[in-house]
Amino acid sequence: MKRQYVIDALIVLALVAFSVFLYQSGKGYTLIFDNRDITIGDTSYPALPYIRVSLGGVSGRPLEIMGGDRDMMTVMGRKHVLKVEILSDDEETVTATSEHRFVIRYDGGNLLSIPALLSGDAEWNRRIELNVAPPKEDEAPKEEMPGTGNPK
Amino acid sequence: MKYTLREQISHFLVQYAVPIIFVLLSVFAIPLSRFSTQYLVQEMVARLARDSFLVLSLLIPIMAGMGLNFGMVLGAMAGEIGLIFITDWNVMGIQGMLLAMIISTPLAIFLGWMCGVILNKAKGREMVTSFILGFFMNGVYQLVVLYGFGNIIPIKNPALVLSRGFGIRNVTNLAGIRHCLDDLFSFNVMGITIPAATFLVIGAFCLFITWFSRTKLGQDMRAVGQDQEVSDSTGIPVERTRIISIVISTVLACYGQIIFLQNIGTMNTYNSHEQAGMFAIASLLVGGASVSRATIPNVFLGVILFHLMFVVSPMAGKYLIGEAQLGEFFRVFVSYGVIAIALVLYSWRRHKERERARRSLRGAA
Repeated sequence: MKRQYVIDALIVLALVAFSVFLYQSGKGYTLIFDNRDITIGDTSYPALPYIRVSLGGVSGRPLEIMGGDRDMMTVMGRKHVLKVEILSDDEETVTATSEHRFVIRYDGGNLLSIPALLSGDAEWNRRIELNVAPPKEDEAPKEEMPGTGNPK
Repeated sequence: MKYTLREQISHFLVQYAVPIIFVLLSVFAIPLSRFSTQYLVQEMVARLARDSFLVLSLLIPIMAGMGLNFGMVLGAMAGEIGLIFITDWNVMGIQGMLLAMIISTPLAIFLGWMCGVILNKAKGREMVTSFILGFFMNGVYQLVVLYGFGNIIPIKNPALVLSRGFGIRNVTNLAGIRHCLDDLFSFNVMGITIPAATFLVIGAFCLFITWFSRTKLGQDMRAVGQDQEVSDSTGIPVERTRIISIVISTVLACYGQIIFLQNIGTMNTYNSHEQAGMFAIASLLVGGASVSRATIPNVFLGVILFHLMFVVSPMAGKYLIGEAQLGEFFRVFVSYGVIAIALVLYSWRRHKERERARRSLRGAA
């Protein structure tokens, strides 16, 4: 009987550990890749003319960002490898490539300044407040006859 | 005793009356709908992947003689609560889906156990009891989701909570886990996308049912399903076995609902589960199952035939009468009607079988 309790407890513990793993590896983060002029402390970093950023293991097209622009990507998990390609003026030739391993710092509002990253500033991952507009106002559900919907 | 050919044909027609009616309706409606074969095949493959798991979850209570488990909506509700949590925490992909399953499992077990205990007190009237229990729990679910979430249970995501600060919005966006299982491993055959990972899960479930029916517990369920008094006298814990069958069905319905909703990608927070039970049961009955007997082929045949009718009927209605809305009404009529037909046929079939048995006894004498 006691042995059974131990086995049950171990199963529950394993499930909790697995849930924590799933949460950590599946948690989604919205990253804002920033290619604008930025001042961190006393240092200013100018925007790059044209860059292409991609995250290792994340499917989907890489982001191409002009100087003075930003773009967004949603990713799963905290640890990533960021690949930055600096493109020439004709926007076709890659003039420099760099890869950076990083861990996402904040739960929300992660702004990744690419000029600061390439200049080696430790504060390149900053937090900004995102004003996410909630969906259009809706009301409490109206009473409906059950089962009148269609199977999808 | 040997049956005449006429008796054999009559028996076959009685046995498979519902699928035969649906095949005939489909043969009539498919050309009218003007859908291409490729479109219909793609739709059926998608719907098989989406619905089969839910329908399969009904098999075990039938094995245990508890009829069609209308209480599966309790499992669906548990699954939806898990999905609300992972949407709030923004856990995406297959991890999000698995986490939703883990979160909702204890709730599904509890609801299944509660349902089983109540059904044990209503022996012989399981279907109507579980049907009404579904309505009752729907009220509890609405109370919890509409007033508890955001009030007692913290929900941070503003896109989920109603503007008043508590309660979940009518529609929950499941974009984070949309098609996560279907797209995990899929391939194309002649332009038709096959969500292989989902079919593998469904296949594993079929194997589980086959294996389970051969275990001691599975055999006990069969025995309980055939005769409770005899099972009791042979030492089988009848009530416990019945509760286990409902718990398994509820937990599997919970997973089925999660698989269903990952395919759809949005959740109708207050209504999705109501539809789940009715349409899963109607699908199973269309496949030739009855209240007392259902097999795995019944599930797949039922899902194909039932959803084929659902896909083609609006367009058939449009081209035949010039009014697509009539086809829509026909959909609802079909889902309720088929349950009624199946129940009446079951009763009639039982009467006929008793008559046949009596006649065979007379013949032997």
